[in-house]
Amino acid sequence: MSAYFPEALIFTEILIRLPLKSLAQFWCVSKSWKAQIDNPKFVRMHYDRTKNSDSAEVRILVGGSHYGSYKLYSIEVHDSLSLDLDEVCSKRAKEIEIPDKLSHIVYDHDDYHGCQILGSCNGLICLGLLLRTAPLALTYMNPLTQKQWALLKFPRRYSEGTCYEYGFGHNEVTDDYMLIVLAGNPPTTVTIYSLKSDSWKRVLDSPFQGMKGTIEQRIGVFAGKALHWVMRDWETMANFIAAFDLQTEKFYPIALPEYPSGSIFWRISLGNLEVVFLSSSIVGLKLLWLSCG
Amino acid sequence: MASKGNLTLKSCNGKEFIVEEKVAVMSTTIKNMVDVDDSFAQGVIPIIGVDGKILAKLIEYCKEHAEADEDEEVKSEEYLKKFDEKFVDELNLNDLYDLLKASNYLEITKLLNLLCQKVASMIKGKKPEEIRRIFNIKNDFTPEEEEEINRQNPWAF
Repeated sequence: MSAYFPEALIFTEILIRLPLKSLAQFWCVSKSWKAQIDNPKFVRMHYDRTKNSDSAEVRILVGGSHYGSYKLYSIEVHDSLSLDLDEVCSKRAKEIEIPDKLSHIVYDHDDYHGCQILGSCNGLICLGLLLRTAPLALTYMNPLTQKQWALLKFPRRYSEGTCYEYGFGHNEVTDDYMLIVLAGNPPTTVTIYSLKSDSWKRVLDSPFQGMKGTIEQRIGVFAGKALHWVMRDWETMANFIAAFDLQTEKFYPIALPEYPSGSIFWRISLGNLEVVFLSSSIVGLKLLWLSCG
Repeated sequence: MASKGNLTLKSCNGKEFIVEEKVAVMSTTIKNMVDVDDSFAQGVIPIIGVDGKILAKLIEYCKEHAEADEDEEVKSEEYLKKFDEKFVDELNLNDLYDLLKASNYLEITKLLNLLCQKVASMIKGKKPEEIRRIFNIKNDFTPEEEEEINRQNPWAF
């Protein structure tokens, strides 16, 4: 077979229909194939298509603490996914090694204590290598190819006990992937990393105080054009959502729906912000759907 | 000259096909030509870069689908599915590529999707050297580079 086949069609029409595993095998077909498969634009096209198809292979990445250090797992989600977590973890989950390329960073720092997923957007994930004193090495990963960008050092170091909140999103207007780090105690200083300019910059402090005194690293949810975190108004003790618009680089509040009394915590669920209400007798669950307009 | 409601399509090697307009406008490219310039509807529409054999296949496909769109009872969804399967299975690799390029150029979306899906399932799971052969691609990695890439297992699998 020697017919000429237009390369653009191969990528835009054919390769986007293949599962990630096949794409990984095609990496070494040629230099231009490798560059294309690694390209964030292709990753996004593939992601968008897969998301909308019935036969999609769904794989979730799970990060968790294990005997004091963070580990990452990858689980293929089948239609008949068992809810038995022990079974899932022991048989289906594959522990993800920190890619070789990143290991040197780990060895350089003795206060490294694990890696964590800091956000996910358009099929790319942002992985953070966490240090006790600073969110030092932050990297964007293409989970398929290990392609990573910009291990630029976080520009500041903070003292122990500093709280961090993270968010990873995409600015459609500038076609840029951005990582937002809120740091401090409470975490109000805002530093933004832009993939396109490969640089960090400080913007105006957050007008919201975030969660005080927690060592949990909190991850914002990207929806529409903004990142969202659940925060607390320390005067009224009411929770609300703080949104950060990636295009205007400004914060704005969104009120939460009425919820029963009791403690409240939040977590991320499949790209939507999920608020879980806990009270002494009933564990209730409410979903808050964010408009993606 | 085609009679009213029909269009004449001419392949790059001079073969002319008279087809019903509803069949021809399955191609967005042809539809746009006819919409903006009435003379195309009267005269002959040249289909650049597509030979008679491929154009005949395109017309065969569009005819079935145009008729199905018009009358669902005569040609059911199931019938079309079977037709599509048979249509792609009977193509040899060269014709598959030529049809794919032609349906891309002529913007026959349904057919383009069908053909791309066929190529996708054809190459799924194939080794890189087979892919290079299928698409006529030169391996421009040095053996050392290739070995290095092979060492980097996709970490999420």
